[in-house]
Amino acid sequence: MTTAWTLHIDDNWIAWLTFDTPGEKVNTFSAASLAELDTQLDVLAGNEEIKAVAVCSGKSSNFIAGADINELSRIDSPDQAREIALRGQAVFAKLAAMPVPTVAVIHGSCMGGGLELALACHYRLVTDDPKTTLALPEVKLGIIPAWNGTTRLPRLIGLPRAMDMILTGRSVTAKKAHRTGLADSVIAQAFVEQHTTTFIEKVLRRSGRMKVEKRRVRVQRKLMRIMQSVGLGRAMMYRKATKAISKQTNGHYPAPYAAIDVMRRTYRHGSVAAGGRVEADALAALACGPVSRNLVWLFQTGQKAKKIAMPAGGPKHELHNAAVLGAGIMGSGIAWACTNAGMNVRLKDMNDEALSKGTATISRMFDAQVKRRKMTPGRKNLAMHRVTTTTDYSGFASADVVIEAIVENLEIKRAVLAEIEANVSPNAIICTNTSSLPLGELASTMKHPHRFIGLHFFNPVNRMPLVEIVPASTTSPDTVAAAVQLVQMMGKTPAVVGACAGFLVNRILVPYLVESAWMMEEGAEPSHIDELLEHFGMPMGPLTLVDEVGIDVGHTVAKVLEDAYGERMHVPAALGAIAATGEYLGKKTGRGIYVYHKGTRKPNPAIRALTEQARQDERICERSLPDADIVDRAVLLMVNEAARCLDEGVATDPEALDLAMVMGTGFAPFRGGLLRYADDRGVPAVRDRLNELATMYGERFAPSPCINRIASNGGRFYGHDYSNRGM
Amino acid sequence: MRERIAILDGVRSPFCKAGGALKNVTADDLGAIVARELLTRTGIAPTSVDEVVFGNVAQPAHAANIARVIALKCGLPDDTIALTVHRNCASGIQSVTTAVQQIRSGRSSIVLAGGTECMSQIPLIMNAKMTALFVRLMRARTLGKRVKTLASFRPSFLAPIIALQQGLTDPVCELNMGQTTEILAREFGISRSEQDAFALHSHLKALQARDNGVMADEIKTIMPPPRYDTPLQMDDGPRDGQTIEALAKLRPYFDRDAGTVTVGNACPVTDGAVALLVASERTAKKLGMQPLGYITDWEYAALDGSRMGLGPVYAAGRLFDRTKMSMDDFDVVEINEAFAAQVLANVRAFESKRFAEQCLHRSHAVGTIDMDTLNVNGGAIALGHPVGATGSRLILTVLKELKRRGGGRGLATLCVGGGQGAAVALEAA
Repeated sequence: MTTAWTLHIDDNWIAWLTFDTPGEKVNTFSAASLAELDTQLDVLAGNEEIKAVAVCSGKSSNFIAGADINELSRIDSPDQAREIALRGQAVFAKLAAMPVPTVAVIHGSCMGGGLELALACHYRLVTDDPKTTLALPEVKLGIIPAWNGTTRLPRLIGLPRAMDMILTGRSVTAKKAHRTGLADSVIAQAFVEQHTTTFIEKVLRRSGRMKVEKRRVRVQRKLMRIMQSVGLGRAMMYRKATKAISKQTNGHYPAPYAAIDVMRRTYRHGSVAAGGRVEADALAALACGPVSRNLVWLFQTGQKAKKIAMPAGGPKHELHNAAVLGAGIMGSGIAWACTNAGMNVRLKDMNDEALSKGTATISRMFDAQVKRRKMTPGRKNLAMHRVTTTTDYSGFASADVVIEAIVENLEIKRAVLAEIEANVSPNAIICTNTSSLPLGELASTMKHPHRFIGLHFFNPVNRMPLVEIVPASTTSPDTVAAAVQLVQMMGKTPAVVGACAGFLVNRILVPYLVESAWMMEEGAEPSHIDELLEHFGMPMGPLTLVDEVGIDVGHTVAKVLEDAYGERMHVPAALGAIAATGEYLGKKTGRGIYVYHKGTRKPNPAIRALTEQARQDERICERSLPDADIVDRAVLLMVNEAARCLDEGVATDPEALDLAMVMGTGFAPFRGGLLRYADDRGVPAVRDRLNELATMYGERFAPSPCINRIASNGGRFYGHDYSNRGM
Repeated sequence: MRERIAILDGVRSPFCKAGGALKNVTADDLGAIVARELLTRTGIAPTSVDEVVFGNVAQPAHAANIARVIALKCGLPDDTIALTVHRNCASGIQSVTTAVQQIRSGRSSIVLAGGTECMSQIPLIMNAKMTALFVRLMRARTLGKRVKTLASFRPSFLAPIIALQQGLTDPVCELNMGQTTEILAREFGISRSEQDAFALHSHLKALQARDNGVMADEIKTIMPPPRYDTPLQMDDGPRDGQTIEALAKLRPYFDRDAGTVTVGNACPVTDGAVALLVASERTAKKLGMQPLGYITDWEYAALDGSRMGLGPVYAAGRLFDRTKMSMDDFDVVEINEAFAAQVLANVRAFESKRFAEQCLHRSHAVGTIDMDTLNVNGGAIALGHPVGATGSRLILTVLKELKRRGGGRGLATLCVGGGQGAAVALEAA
C-alpha cells in the first residue's frame, strides 16, 4: 500500500504529519487514509519526546478536500453512515486528546472533513494565499458535518458565524477565518516551517497560549456572545435560521434543519463525544435519503461534465480573440463571458448606440461582481479594456472564434454568416447563438460548414451555468472540441446535444410552459399553478417564468416547436392572444400574466378575460383541475419528451439529460433531475399515469415508445441501453 | 539613401473640452483604448510590438510611466518595454521621433507610439501651509499636541494650487502661455480682429471636415467609462454657428486691459489621445501592409521662453537646412493653433527675410506659407489641444490628408511651452 501520511520529526522535536495522497491532485479522506492517520496518531501518542504536532498537506493548492465523495455515494444503510461518522470522530478525538499542542497548517482549500480535522487540532494556521479557503459544504450534498464539525465549530467561533458556515456551506477566505477566530494566525507559505515553529514556540508558553485563546473570544461580537450564552437568545437564533432556510428551500432540503437540530442539542450541552453521537444519528438519517443521494450524484456528474476531455489527439485550441456579432442582451452577455474568461472581444453591431448599450450591459455585469467583492475595480477596468467595438468587420481577421447573436431570422443570419466567412481567417470557428433556427439550414449556405456550430446560451448569460453545444451534421469533431473548450473557459458546463428544434433543454421545457398555459386556459388560477410547481421544486413557477422570458418571445419559440413537432406541442390560443395585445408581454412591460409594481406582483385581471375568450374560441370547457393533475401534466409531459430525446439521440444518456435540465432550467436538484425523478416514481407507474392523463386531457400525454419499452421490461431510464434506439 | 520609417496606421479619440464627456476617463485608459483599437484594426500581433513610447505632459500620479500602463492595458504582453516621453507640447511628436530613432538604431522593429492627456484630471494641490500642517499632525504623538496642532489651522490653508495653471506657466520667464502670445501679437502687430477671423476660419474648416467625414476617418468612437453607455463619436470643440460677432464680444483673458488674446481665439483645455504604429518600410512590406505614410525627417529648436510661440519657424528653419527642402516641397502645412496670434506671428516670421537674418542667422526667409495649405481641416482652436497628444494628432492628420490627396508631402510643426519648437517632414505612402 502506498502511504498518504508521512511523519517527520524535526530537530526541535516538532512532529510534522503530512497528508499527500499519491497520484491525486487533492487529498481526500477514504477509509484507508483515515486508518493510516489513526496509526500515525497512535505512533505519536507513544512518543513522549515530541513537543508539538503540525498537520499539513503535501499538495500545492489543497489542504484536504474532505471525505471521499465516491465512498459517500456508496453508503447503503443508515448503520453504515453512522459507523463512518463515529470512526472519523474517533480518529480525530485522538488528535484532540494529544497532550502536546497540535496545529493544523492550512494552505489551499480546506473543505468538509478537512476542516473538521483542523477543528480537532488545538490551533489552526492559514496561509495568506488566495487559494486558501475554508468551508463545511456538507449541506450542499444533503448531509451535515458529522466528524464533530457541527459540534466543534460553534464552540470555537460562536453560534451565529458557525450557523452561517454550516447552513450555507459558504467558504471563507484565510483573512476572514483569522478575523472570526477560526484561524489563530496568518502565515506565509514561503516561510511555512519558520512561521509554524515560531507559533508553536509561542503556544508552548503559558502566556502565549492565553493570548491565543483570549483572542478567539475577543473577536466574537459582544452582543452575540451574550445572546448565545442564554437559552432565550439561542432559541431566537435557531428560529431565525430555520425561518430563513424554509424561505430559501421551500422545505425540500432536510440537511440544514438537521444541522440546526444537532446544534440545538449539542451546543452548550454535553461533551464533544456526546455531540458526535448526535451528529452520527443525524448523518444516518440523511445519508441514505433521496435528497442526499440526488445531490451527491449531481455533484459527481457536474464535476465530470466540467472536465469532459477533448477528443483524443486533437491539439488544444488557441482561443485568445473572440468576435461577437450583435450587442443585444444575448450578444453582450456572451461578450461578457468571453472577456471574463480572459479573451479579447471584438463586439460588432449596426451602430454605435447599440454598441454602447451592449458595453454598458457588460459593464453592469462586472459591477455586480465588484459589488459582491468577486472582482476588484482594477480587474474590471482591465476586463473592459479587452472589449472593443466596431460597426464594420475590422479586427475580425485575428478572431479565433466568432459568435453570432443577431436577430433570429434565417435569411438575415445566412447573409451575416456569409459576411463572417468572407472576413475571418480560415481557422476561425464560427458559432451561431440561436434557440430556434435549424442548424442544418444555416450550414447549408456556408462555404466551410465544417467549422460551423450552434451554441445555445441561456439568459441571463452571466448567471446561467449551462451552454448547449449543437453540432450540425456537417460540423467537424475538431470544431466541437473547440466549442467545448470555449464553454469550459467561460467556467460554464457544456452539454453537447442534437440539432433538433429547441435543442434539448427548450424542447423539454417549452411543452411544460405550454401545458401550464393550457391549464390556465382551462380555468386554473395562474398563481395556483405556479405555487404547485414551486412546491414541486422548480425554481420559479412556469407562468412566472413565461413572464420573465417575455410572452411574445415565449410564444414565438413555442410556435417554432409546434411547427417542428406537430399536434403534441400545439400552442393554446390564450398565449397567442396575450402576446397579440402587445402590452401584456411580461416583466419587461410591467404587465403579463402578473402585474408587477415596485417589487410586488399580483394576478393581471385582464388575463382572465383573454383566456376565457380563447377558451370559447377553442371550444374547451372550463373545469376544475385536481392539484395532482396540475403537477403531473406539467412534469410528466417533460418526462415524455425527455424520453423521445433519448430515443432520438438528442441527449447521449439520462445522466447528461438530467444534468442539462438541472443546470439549464433549475429543475429541482434535490430530485436529481427529470429522469431520476421518473425512475424514483417507477417508469411503469409513469406510463400508467400518462395513459390516464391521455384519456383525460389529450393524446399529447400518450407515453412515448421509449417509455413503453422501458416500462414493459420493468426497467429504469438509468441503465437502459439506448444504443438500439427506437427510432 | 536611408530606409524610410513608416507610420503604419493611426487612430485617435474624439477630443473633448476639459470637464466634458471624457472628464472621468483617465489618461492611461484613454491611451489604452485608442492603442488597442489600432492594434485590433491593423491585426498586428501583440507579440510583435517591441516597444511602446507615449507622450504625456501632466503625468497623473496614479500611473507612473503611463506608457507602460498603456502597454499592459491595451493588451500587449508583460515583456513589452515602455517609455513615457515629455517635451511639453511636443511630447506627441517626441514619442514618434523616439520611435523612429529606436527603429533606425535597430533596437526595435515595431513601436507603438502616441500621446495622451486628460487635462480634466490635472489635480488641485494642497498649498505649502496645509502640507506643513499634515506633517506636524503626523509628528504630534499625544492627544494634546494633536489638538494644539489642529488649532493652528487657518482657512487660507485650503487655498489650492491649480496644477493646470502652473503647468501653463513658464517658471523661468514667469509668463503664462497666453502672456507670451500677447508679446508676439505686439511684436508682429497682429490685431484682435485678425486673430478672431483666424479663429472663426479654424472652426469653419473643422466643421467642414467633420461633415465631409474627414474626421471620422481618424476618430474611433469611444464608450467612456465608468458607465460605457454613451457613444462619443466626434470632437466637441468645433462650434456650429460660430460668428465673428460672438468672438468679438469676448474679453481679453490674459491681459484684461490692453490684451488681444481671448478664450475664443485660443485653444481650449482638452482631453484626448492618439495612437500610431511606427515601423520600417521593410517591416511594413514583411507584414504585407500598405503604410499610411512616412516620416522623412524632423528637427527641434529652442528659443527665448517669452517668445515660445515662434518655435515652428525656428524648428522649420533648422529642418530645411538639414534636409535641403523648402516650403515649396510641401502640399499641406500644420502649425499647431495654440493661439491665433501665435500662428499668424509664425506665418509672418516664415516669410520675413529680416526675421530670418536677425533671429535665425539665415540669409533668406524660411519660406512663405500658402494660406490655402495651412491647417486645412481646422486646428486646435476648434479641435482642442490635449498637450501630450496634439503632436501625434498633427502627424496623423497630415498623413491622412496626404492619403486623401493621393500623395505629396506635409509639414507638421508646433510651438512648445518653455521655448522650443518642433517640425516634422512627412510624405505620403
